[in-house]
Amino acid sequence: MRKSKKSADAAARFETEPAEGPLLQVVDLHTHFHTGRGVARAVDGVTLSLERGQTLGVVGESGSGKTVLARSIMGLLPKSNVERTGSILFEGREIIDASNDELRALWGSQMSMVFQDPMTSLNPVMKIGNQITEMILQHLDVSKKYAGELALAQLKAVGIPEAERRLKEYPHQMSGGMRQRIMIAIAIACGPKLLFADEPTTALDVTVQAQILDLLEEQQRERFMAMILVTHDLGVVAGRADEIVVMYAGRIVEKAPTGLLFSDMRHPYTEALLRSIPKLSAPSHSLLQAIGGRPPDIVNPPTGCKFSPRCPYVHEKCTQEEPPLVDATSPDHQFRCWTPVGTPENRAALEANRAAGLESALAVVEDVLPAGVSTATETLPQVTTSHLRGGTINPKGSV
Amino acid sequence: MRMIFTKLVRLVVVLFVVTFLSFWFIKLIGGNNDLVAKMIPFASIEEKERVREEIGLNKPFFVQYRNWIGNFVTGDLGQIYTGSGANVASVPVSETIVKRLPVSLELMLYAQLLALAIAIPLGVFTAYRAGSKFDRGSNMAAFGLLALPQFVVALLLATYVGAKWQLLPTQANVDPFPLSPADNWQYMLMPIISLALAQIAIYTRLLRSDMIATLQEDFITTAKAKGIPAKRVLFRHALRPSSLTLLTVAGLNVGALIGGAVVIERIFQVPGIGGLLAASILSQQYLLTQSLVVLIAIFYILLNFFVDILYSVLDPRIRHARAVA
Repeated sequence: MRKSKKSADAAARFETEPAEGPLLQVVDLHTHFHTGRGVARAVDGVTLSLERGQTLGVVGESGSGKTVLARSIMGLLPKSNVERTGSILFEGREIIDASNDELRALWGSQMSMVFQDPMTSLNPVMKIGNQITEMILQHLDVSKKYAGELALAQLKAVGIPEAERRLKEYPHQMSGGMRQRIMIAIAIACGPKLLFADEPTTALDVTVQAQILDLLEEQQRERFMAMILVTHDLGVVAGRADEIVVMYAGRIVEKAPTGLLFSDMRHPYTEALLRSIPKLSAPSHSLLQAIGGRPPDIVNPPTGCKFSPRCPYVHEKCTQEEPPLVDATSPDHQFRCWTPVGTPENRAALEANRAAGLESALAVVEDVLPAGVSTATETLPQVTTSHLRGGTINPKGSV
Repeated sequence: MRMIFTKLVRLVVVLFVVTFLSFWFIKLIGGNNDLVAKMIPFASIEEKERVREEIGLNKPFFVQYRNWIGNFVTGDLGQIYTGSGANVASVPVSETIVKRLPVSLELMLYAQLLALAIAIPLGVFTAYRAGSKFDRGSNMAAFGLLALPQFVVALLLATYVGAKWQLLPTQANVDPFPLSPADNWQYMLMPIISLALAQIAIYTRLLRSDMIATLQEDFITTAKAKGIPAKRVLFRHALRPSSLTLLTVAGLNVGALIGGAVVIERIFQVPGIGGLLAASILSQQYLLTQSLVVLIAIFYILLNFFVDILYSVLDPRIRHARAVA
């Protein structure tokens, strides 16, 4: 009896949805936390959409709301003290007001997540094999034995050596890179259509980062999965995302196809993020171009443009009125700035601020990145394997 | 396996120390001659001398200890001597203990099982719904139970359930006491409940706070994101890593209850070990006292040995950390 209900559930879960229309559509999503100090607007009016098989990069520094955005879309936030408004359409279905029971049918099987810290994201007292098979058994109508075989195949797919033995081991017996591979194996085991990768490489050794990103990309391509790649590192998404969204204080400040974002960035924050990446070509002992100041307090954000207190191009209007999200040359490319990078007004504002001795303006070093001049993606210190593989002893092996 | 072996070696050493100390301490209380004089104060001098001879009190200390240990291992725990003048009778200590021990074990075991059976689901649920009305209510009830001494609970039960409503007998001093739970449950139910109530409060509080900490862990979010139902997340993912403190305290409690339920045994006249120990001290039957102390100590040690092994069953990290070290 129970079995037949389960098969029906499983069948319904994988029923073919209409293939037209974007996989995910988020419209004006707000996620507010009710804290003791007031309302924290962690996600504040985000609109985005994602096609099947595409990759969306979400970039921003700590506290910009990117992780909360990913968890809001998936519905993983706790219910108490959290308020979500707006619309989240997954395959055309509204899921923002779905109950946990309804979402549970989607979690793992339709959308899943790879978390930031593989050291804490796996259950320490459960064998790796069980952590994979319990999910397969939850979503698919298969026998225990078959689930075990599937789990083994997943481990092999993510490049775990001696997969049979590893299935019987516990997470603490493995390295960070291996654990993140296992997290990925778990996340993709049931063939989700959408994968959230929430800073998947932040907690890892640099030598392993590229391998993990490559693995994600490879699996994504093979399975035609869409991916939302959340990171603070523009270099991570540079070669991998189809589209990039830059977030600041819970809002999208710039959104563009990857190539366009790097060749024609308009927002000062995007520019600052790019500057802050150390350049391999720069002479040694070059100062890092850090973004001065601190991320804004999202309970009491500054008036006007949220970035204005740290912006080298700030002028009067910025502190009074928040700029709307406007189209750049094409509707694909949107930004939120009164004096976008690369305009004469922007130059004038910088000069004025320098004359006034504004610290953030004085810190802008022209020769690193001439303002507004197009920067080809290739000059970025992308995280690619080519320069790292040589340094690792066994790229597929015991990482 | 190696870990269990080293633990076993340690266990034997501890057992040796415990038996030696209890033997020595009892000697310290009165000295050789006084012990017999206190046990049978009204016996004739010849009888006292005979008993001393029988116990072996005239031998050197270490010979006495060796003989006692040897006899203890074979089940000969000595005699309980009673009588006056030339009429001194004796009953084997082991006979008395064999009658009493199952009662205490039953009392302790069922009290623990009842406490855990209620505390585990309650602790898990209050942690899952921390801050809810139910959680606050159960918190208040737990504090109430903790503040209420066991004997008050026992007396209330005896007064209402036993005397006023006549549902259960308040006194278990029937002879012979039925040892099978099927026959003696009506005598044991109230003592078990009196012992379990305070434990429920402690266990629930312990498990709740550990569970709340575990539920904040990343791997719980992972389990949720895998689409695992809440019940399975709670019991399969969160309970095991949260249960170590509970296990420790439960292990200590089981040991404490075996001889420490004196008050409850007294109120309901349950013929258990606790009452026997108290009586043996009052009537100066030092061989009985000595045997009981050693038995309780052995029980305590064995139990905590198993708790120690259970830790590594529950958490593989402990297992492997020890194996490396």
